[in-house]
Amino acid sequence: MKRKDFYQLVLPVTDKLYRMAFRLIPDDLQAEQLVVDSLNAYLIKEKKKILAASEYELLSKKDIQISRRLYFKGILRYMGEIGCRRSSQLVDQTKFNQPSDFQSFYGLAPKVRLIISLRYDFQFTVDEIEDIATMPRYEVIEKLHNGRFLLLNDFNQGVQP
Amino acid sequence: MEKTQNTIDSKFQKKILGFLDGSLSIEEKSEFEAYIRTHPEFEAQIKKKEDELSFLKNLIPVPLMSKEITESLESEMKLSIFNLLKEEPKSFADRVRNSWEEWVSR
Repeated sequence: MKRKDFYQLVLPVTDKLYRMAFRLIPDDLQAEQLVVDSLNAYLIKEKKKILAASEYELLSKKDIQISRRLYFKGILRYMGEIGCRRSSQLVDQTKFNQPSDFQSFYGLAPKVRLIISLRYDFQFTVDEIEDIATMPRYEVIEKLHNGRFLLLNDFNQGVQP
Repeated sequence: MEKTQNTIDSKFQKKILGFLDGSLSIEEKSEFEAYIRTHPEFEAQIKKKEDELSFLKNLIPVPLMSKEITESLESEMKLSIFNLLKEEPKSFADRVRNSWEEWVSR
């Protein structure tokens, strides 16, 4: 695969990558930087595999979808790791303010925000989330459960008179 | 008898979210599906949980990229790909091709 082929495959998921990055670090510049750093980490680690993959022109529509999802998941794997660590450090140093909207969501721990987004926005299965978040299954299920409970509970308390 | 039935219902009620999340094991999933087939009234409870999960999406922010961020991010990603995904040139032709690609991508 040539460089331009990889770019062609990854470009359409830029908005999704940014969305995930912003949920981990709710700051425009930091989120942008997180996308670039995650992509760089992925490229450094998987360079050989990417270059050995089939060229874009030779891929069927279905193969394009599969490859795009594979690369998306790969980049997300690094984003989860880098983003959760960076988010905790930035919060500790109060380098950014929490957004006023969606306070319940941003009040969750970064790892819980990651898992909830992967499941309920990107529709990944629990098996896929285990792989992306490099977490054991029980931890994924626990975080899904806690995140769901806290979000819905906060909302229900908010609407009560 | 009724108490036993309630215990069974409650056992499967606890598994609804796991079923919808796909976190049940193969055996648990088969058992759950078999229970639904024999208890069609249970589907209403599943539907209720499904609605709850659909609603959950409204509680997750959907940050959008501004035009400036889109342009800046796309150009940074392009730069990363062209810098880090460089194939080692094996021949003079490869070297020329790499240089050509770099020039075109500017």
